[in-house]
Amino acid sequence: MPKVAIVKRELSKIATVLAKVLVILLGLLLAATLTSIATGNPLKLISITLFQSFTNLNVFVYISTLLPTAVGLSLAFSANAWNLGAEGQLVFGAIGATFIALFTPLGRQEIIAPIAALIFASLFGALWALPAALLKMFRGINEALTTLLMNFIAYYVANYLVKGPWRGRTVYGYPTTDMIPIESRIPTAPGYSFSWYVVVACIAIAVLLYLFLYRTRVGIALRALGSSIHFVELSGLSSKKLFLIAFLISGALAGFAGGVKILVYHKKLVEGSIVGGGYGFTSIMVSWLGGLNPLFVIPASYYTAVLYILSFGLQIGSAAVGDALSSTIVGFLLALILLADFLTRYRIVIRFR
Amino acid sequence: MMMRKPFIEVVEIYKKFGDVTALNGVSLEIYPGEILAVLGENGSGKSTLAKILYGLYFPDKGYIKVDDVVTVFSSPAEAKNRGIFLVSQRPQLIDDMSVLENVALFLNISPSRDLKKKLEVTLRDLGMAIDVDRGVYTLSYTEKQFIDLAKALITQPRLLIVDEAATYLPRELKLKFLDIIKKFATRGGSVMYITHKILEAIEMGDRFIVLRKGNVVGVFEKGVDVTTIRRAMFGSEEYLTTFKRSPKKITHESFALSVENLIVFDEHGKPSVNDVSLNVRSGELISIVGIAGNGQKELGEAIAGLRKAARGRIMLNGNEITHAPASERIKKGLIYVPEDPFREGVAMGLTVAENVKLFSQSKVSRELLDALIKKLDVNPSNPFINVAKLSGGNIQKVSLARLLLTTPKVVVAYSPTRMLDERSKTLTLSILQRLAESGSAVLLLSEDIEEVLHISTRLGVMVSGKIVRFFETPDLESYREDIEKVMVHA
Amino acid sequence: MLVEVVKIISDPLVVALVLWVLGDIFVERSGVINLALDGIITAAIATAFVSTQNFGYLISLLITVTITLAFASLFMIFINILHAYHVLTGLALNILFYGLSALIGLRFQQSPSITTLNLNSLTLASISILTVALTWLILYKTSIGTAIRACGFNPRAAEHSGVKVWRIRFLASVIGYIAVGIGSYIYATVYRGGWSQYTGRGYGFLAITLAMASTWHPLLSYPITLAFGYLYTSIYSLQLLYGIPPDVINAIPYIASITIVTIVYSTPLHKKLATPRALGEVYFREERAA
Repeated sequence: MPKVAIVKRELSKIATVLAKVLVILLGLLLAATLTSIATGNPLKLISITLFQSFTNLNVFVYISTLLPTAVGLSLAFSANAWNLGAEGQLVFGAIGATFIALFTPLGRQEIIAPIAALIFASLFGALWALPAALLKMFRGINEALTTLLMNFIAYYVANYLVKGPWRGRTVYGYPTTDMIPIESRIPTAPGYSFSWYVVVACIAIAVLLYLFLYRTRVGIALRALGSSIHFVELSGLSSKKLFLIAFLISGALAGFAGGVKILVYHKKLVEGSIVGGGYGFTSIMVSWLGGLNPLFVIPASYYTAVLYILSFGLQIGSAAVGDALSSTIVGFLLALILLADFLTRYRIVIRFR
Repeated sequence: MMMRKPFIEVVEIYKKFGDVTALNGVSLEIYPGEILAVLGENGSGKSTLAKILYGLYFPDKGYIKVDDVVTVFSSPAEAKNRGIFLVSQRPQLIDDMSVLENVALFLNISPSRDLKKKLEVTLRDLGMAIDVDRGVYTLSYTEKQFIDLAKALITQPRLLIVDEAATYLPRELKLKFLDIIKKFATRGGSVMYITHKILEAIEMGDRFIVLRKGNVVGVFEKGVDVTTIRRAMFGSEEYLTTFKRSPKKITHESFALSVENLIVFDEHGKPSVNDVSLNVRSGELISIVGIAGNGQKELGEAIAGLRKAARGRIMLNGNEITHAPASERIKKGLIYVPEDPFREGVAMGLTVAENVKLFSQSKVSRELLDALIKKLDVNPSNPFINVAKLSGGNIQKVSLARLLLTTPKVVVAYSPTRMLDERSKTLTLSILQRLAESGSAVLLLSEDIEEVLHISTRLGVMVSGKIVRFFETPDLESYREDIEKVMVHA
Repeated sequence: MLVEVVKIISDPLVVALVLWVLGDIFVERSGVINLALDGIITAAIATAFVSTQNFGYLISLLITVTITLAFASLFMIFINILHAYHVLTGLALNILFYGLSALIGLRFQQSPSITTLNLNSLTLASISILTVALTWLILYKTSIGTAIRACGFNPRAAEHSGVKVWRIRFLASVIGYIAVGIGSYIYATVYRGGWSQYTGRGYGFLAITLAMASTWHPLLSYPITLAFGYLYTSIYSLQLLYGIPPDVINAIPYIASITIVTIVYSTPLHKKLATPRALGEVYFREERAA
């Protein structure tokens, strides 16, 4: 009987990146072919849709949410802080921003309003990450599971608010709050629902966090935390403080993204699952696609944004089928990334003797 | 004896980890009833070989022949089915299960009353009285190690691989352990006895194989002398047996580090450090030596802050640090050199440069970095590669860089030389000595009397969590026999 | 009171939930974080619905369990062979399975509803109680169960003892996902009798939550699931009687789960209850150690 084993493989950084890009491109090709078969549209049409998705400016709508969230998460994951709660932190950020914009006098101050709302959004996001971090630090409770559960609680808090105390006076149908005042909205690019200010800010955040993680002692220590807590302690840095920093920064950035969604996109608070929209979960994949390096997270979030655009482009015919198909394809491509990760890190050895 | 058929033949086994070659074409054979001693320094490939024979690692090339059947194992289950079992330094038991469940797991049956009886009999034969319904987490290291052996013996294996398994056992139990293994061989079983201690190998072995850097560099029959084996193990490399310290007058009066009535519990609530007091002045190098498992490790970790002190006080330059977190103590000038480079000494995900950067509160220039690498003889010398690409010994050297960045007030080291070859060992000890000479207070916790005898200003012997006696310089060498006696029988 | 209890233990939704929780316990006891459960449940429900419509109740049960196992195997390939992070695999595959569930449903459904299968209370109650007992027996009284738990505690030591960790994790997921498949079938045919896009989404996470709240112990999971089942099924009466908003009730299992686990971990209980310590650990046999 042949013997099969899996052993480690050492590839250079460049080879790793190339291999991943190759797998991703192959995946896109495969996905396009499958879609063509499933929908009966010619491959050419699908390919055009695909190509257009890459050049569609609407990618920035998604990048504005995915990039800051994923950059924050790459920081957390580097430090071995398994924050799966970005979705909930994003929702809480949205709640924070809405609170400032709708219920405080700050909401009517030009320029100050969006800034204050974003600061509050970040604080709210960090706040929602705090319990899981504390439970891990002082009780050793698996943070992956607690943060996951906190997502659902955040959904219900937002639902409760928009159906109950915050329900808009002039709102019919879907429960939402009133629209936030004009002064607190962030101006969007003409004809689009994203803001260049936000895009620039997001990229700046990514670059800054890269410098933080790779060029400062605290940042390097955060990454060391992923290997060994004792090592970090023995180097004179408090592992608890670092863990908390990583957790709070990732929560704050998810909250920031939630704030952006309110101030730029929704302009009012909506139900939790709509404001979250699964972006918190997708961001987890984006940060891994970017190899937990904030700089690489930029192209990773771009690629994922393209997938979102693509999935709308594919919604030819019935919207239900389109949505199902796009979810299938996105899931397939994300799984492919995991496969690529395997191929670059391990190899399978088969021996017949 | 040589006319008989070997039980197992190992043929041209190769194994690489990344850029590090662990085994470079190793062949050997073991006969029934024979104890084959495999010798080599840390990093020579002996453990890798053991793991390949037990199916934990898959060889890159080469094969194994058991009873004339050519094979390679892709899991321990397969090796076990062939009657091969590995006992290693760390007992491989599931802490959260009972002894009985562990043995049932190993035998692949459900725990039953019959099994319980059988196990109790086996343990009694080994001279161990252990309640088999107890959770493994309540057992001592020694008890666990014996259970690991007992569960193997129940299956009546044909080859026992013993990988430094007796190293950390207390003297008397060690003899008992070795006796069981010898008996196993006289009844026709094969044994592969892996160790880095030459005398122990000579005591146990019928035949000897020496590994160096993944190659078989010597095969010897019974009757070989220590020097021959030593030469094979260390090759042409200089082997420094002695190095003399120049005893210096201690001028400082106050204590840089003092430990008062310290009590430390192990994971299972037993006191592993039991009412220890000691003081170290600046410029002193104090060693605490004892057989493994007598509390040196826990003492070191408690001083470093990696382990809680249950009672007592720890003072650093007159300030109490008993309950400060490790990071705080490091910042105050205490440096701890851990034993395990992989898990505590470095961060495996980072580059050499990044690791060194973390050791230093201030900026580390490129020149300083290169100088450190040169001084510590880290190979390869490129500071920008991932530490995970280095061999164990070189990783330990990177970990030692923490000693060279400042003149620390207090240095505590626990078995810092365990992973190192002779030359690096000498280097490490001389660094510690030089630190003491330039004013650091150094506390060296060790299991090896050889490494501490010549460099200490004072030497304490630790037995069962207590320091039972201190020996004073100038002439520690003359106390050697006394020290050994105290270590063994307190 | 007794009537209430009987009503809860024979409620088809609660029975389905019990089976999902037990299925999850099998998988997580072997050390795998089972986030893909949510997607697989969604896809299994769609499968159960359309295959009942097309082939009848009995064949539908077979098809549902088979498809569930196929999806679970895909999950296990990522975990055991590709050595992917459990959490990432779960999240990625969930998205894939949500999509597939909708494709299966939309492609094969003939009408939006089916006649619900009529099972009497006794049958329903026995199904869940039997599964609880069986789960406990397998996990705690057989050699396979010992091996499964060993993989959840310490896969490295388990492998050393001759357990093929990848194989046991596969096996655990097969046993567990049979329960998940049957649970999804009961949900689709006995409880719901209808399907729309993404029906059942969210129950997987609820099941994971309840398993965690019961410290992955099958006997503990039953009363806990019943308690939440009670809250769930009486959500509207609670709202009417006491004015508790449904969103607050919905949040209860999540809050309670975190609270219970906090209590367990803050007391010596967690030593006694022996939770799977290696949950979520990517196990690679050739990892270097000192």
